[in-house]
Amino acid sequence: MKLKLLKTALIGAVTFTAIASGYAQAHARWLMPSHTSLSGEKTHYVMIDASISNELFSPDKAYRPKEKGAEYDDNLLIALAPDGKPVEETIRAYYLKRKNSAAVTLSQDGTYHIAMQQKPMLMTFYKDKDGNRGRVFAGKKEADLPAGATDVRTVKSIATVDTFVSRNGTSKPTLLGQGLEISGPTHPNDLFAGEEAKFQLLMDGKPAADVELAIVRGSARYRNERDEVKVTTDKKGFFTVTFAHADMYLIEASVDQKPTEADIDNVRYSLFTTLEVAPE
Amino acid sequence: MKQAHLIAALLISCLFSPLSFAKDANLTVEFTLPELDVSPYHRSYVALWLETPERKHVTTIALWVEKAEWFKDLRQWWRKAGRSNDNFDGVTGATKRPGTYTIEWQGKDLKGNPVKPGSYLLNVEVVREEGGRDYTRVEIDLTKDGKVTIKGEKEFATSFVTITSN
Repeated sequence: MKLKLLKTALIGAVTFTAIASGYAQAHARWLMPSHTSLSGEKTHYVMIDASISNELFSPDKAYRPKEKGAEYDDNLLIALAPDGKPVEETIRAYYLKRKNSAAVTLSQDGTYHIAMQQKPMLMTFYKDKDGNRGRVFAGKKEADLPAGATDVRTVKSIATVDTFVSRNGTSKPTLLGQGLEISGPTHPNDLFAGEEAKFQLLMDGKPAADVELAIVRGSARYRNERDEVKVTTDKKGFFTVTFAHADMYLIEASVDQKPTEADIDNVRYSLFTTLEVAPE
Repeated sequence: MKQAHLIAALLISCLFSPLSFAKDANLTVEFTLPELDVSPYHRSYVALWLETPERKHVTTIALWVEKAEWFKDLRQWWRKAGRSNDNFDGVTGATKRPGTYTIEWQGKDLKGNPVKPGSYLLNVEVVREEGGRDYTRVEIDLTKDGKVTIKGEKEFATSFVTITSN
């Protein structure tokens, strides 16, 4: 684990600007809904698990609540209801060491867009006086760097970690409007093995052209191959994919942008969207 | 209620039409739910519906499932038709024991409008709680008399649809 982090920092520091799609170096972050499609008149609950792991979708590391020692975090997840507004009920995500779990109440008909709160995160990479590389979760000015640190680079990371759940039919999902995210024409809760699906990749609400995405199949623990398909968005941000198997899938992408703010060397957008594909 | 309608239809067709009632049915499906040696056995949810060759829902012919909460388990039917009550009002029924059932379709959609002659896909989906799921579709031409086999794998047995062009 430590080695991997170090490697990440190393690759990052050496070739940051050269990497256009950097999903391979990041750990996968994901949400796992207990259901993606529900029917019936009563109010439904869907359980959302959140974790960071490379073995999809087996949980490995949970998100620590902001408050030290807290057992839950009410601000980890948001759910945009079919009417476009965030759900009013508190989404209490319990910290369970390897994953966070929360129940989301679904009372409206249509599609809920469920995501992790998208606060941009600052990371500062450096090399200490002995040449060892390190990383601090802070901006360049606030970072508590060891004396004599060199090669200091600050990255602003904007990550989208999301999924979709529909109650009594689908509706057009509300867009997050910031970061990377996928949009139609295919509905994210209407995916079947063997059928072609078409999506549009958006960045801050605008089409994201020429971006490579990795479509990774879940149940990784029970397979020897990673089973990853790569696709690239066209000029209008569209991409198509035919899912070979019924399973849960993670759509990953990463885009580096030139910073517009001082003290930031790189802005990295990343995407982790969980989709369910049903058997034919 | 439904039975009364059928009897009325039968009487009317006998009185005013030289055609027999059976001939009015455009499609006659002999549908078989097999005896399964499993415990517990839950009665299957069943959906039969017609789609255009482009796979657009035309009309649901039969829907055997008690609670709307279980509709979603008929995954293909649900995505195509289940999301609007208009698509199944009038054809829902209780789940059935294993056996062979005759399901008739009179050539009309659920609003009572005749469905245009031509080619369609007859979809059959069967899901059993704590069991499996079977889904298949067969091509049928409403303008050509004939009998088509609907192959079931496990959750329904080999069934047949007889097409009677009117």
